[in-house]
Amino acid sequence: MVTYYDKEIAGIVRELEKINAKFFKGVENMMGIEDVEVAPTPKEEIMARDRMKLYHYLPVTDVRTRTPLLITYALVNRQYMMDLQSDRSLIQKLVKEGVETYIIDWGYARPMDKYLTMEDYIDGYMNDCVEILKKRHNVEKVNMMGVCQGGTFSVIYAALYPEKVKNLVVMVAPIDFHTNDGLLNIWARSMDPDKMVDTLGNIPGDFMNLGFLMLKPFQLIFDKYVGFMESMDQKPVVENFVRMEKWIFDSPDQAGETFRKFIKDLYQENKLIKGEFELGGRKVNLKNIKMPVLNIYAEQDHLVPPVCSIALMDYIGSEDKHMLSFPVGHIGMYVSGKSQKTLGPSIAKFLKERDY
Amino acid sequence: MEFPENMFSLWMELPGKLAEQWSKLYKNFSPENLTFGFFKKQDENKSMPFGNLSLYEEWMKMSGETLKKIMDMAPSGGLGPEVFGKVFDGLKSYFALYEFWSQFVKIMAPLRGRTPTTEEWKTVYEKLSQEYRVVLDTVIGRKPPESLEEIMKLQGKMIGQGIEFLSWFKSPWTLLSKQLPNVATKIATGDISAVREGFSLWHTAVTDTIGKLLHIPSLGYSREYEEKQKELTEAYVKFATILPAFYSEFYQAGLKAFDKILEKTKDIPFENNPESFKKFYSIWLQTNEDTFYDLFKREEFTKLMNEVLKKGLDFKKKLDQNISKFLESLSIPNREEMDDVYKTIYEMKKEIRQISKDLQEIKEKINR
Repeated sequence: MVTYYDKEIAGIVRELEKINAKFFKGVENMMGIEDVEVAPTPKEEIMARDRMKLYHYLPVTDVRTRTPLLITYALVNRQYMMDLQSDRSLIQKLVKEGVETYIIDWGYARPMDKYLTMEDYIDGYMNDCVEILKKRHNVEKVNMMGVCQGGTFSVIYAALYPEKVKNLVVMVAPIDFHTNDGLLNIWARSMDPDKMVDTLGNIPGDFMNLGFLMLKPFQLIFDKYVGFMESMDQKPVVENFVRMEKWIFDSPDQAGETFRKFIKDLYQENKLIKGEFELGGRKVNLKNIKMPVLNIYAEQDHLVPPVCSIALMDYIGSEDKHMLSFPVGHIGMYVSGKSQKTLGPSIAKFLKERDY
Repeated sequence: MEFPENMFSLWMELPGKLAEQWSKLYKNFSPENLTFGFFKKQDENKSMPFGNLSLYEEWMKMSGETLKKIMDMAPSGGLGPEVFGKVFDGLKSYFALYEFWSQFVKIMAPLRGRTPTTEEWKTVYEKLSQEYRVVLDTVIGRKPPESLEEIMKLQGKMIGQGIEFLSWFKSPWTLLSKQLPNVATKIATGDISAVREGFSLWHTAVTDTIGKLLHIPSLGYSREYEEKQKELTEAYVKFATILPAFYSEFYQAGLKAFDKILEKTKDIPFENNPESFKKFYSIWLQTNEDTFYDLFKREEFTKLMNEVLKKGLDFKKKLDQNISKFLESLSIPNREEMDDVYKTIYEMKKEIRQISKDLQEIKEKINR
């Protein structure tokens, strides 16, 4: 006789069998992955200095912008997030729109790089890249796009060298650091960067990652993987997931001296918007930024809360300034379907309309 | 990618092994074998007893064993296996939560549709909080006891050096052993502030014993070496002592979240099916995320976190100094010496870059 128990257990076992089938298919999918391809858009190396490299994306259109665009990414994580895979690539969108696109790859800081300062990055590497682009394209000015910490760097650069920047695009960049909306902003205020740098030299990428994971611990350490289990039997989904995981944990160490200044002068003392920030003995005056500016932020950003980015508009001297936002998080800005459709074309339109 | 030579045959054997394990599982859970746990066979006219924990446990065990076989076959390392490790860890926690939920449904069933008395609720709460500890241990980890163990080991070493007869050394630990059971009872009855109390008592015991020992002055030929060792040990003790306090904040937040989850879910008539569990899971996830966010925003937490960081860095610094001291006798450069070289290279590069720029400018001027 078939009892209630038999039916109930049979149901549970069938459910488990289904999970198992999915699970083992997923295991099979994952075990075969030694590595995944990232940054698929074809590019050429233009310059290499120390750890830094400058790349030019090979054009695919006959009609292209006259002014080249230099993209500066953060020192945290790697720049290939902007070109993660063919169907999720801001870079590819820009290139297809005819934007002459260059990107700085900061590389991986080694122990000997702990002395690199913000001056070295901004006055040194970034300025060298701008000079190369000016010569290559025979122009007086270049377009700049700064992302996250690279956005802060680009804003500082544009304020120090306004004569070299035609248009400025800033993406999810912290400008006003004194907010209680973000945990990073709160934590950084009582950090002791001197002790950290004096003891560790460079700040390990793993340490930074731990901090990022703690921002949403249950979602990022737990739920993300549980959710993935649902679709791990589908190979393309597995590859996309692994690709994203590769990027998340591909975190270079932070050059010690740069970290020290970034935390002390910006996160702790908020000197940039106060007009007190100095670089190489010069005061950085945001009012010097008079070129057209497009400020892009993510409405659900938990790393750089929107208020930190929006503040830029109040401190610059530009009249031609615009804001663009997307209902996504910090990372969603580069990979979510919502932003993928409009982000690239919007940036290209902004640059093309001002490419005279 | 290198595969083991016998991989193909291993792979071929796998379906057979899986079938064998499944048949064992079916056998264990056939009605005639349902004689253990809350799966115990009851009156068939009554409703199904809640929970199928043992079945899931068996399944997890079986899947784990099979998985191990697959992992043994697969090439070691690589991005896929690395990510899979994280997925598997996530699943462990997921199943721990599932196990709790099974118990939750079972324990709450008699209360469904009526308001429990205070006494009844107290009993249920105690049972559930006991069960929830497994979830907390899996999700948050068992850091405090591990650190405690480290301290105990250190204490053991000290005792081995013939100091254990000192009554002042023993007494704080004796006192602690008397106080801890009271704290444990408080925690068990839902007083989550007792977690912090427990660690504070323990911290006092460490400071009053190991802390004092480390300040005994060294003498003789090896004085400098011994002092460096003591400084290192002291830095470690300070770090290992504050670390559990830090983790106790997590534990406490976990318990706080548990109270909120209970409040939110106690009146929901959950059934023992996947949809019901998913609903519970989403409440659990969001409540935890919100509770931890509140914790992380607190000024005291930020201060404690930075204190942990400082103590960790102090220990690292002492460790580096000691290693450098050891390396002095070897013919290899230590970190300090390498730093000197790095700095010189850095400054030279900067200078060369500036000279090159100046030279370029001069050339351009001449060519104009």
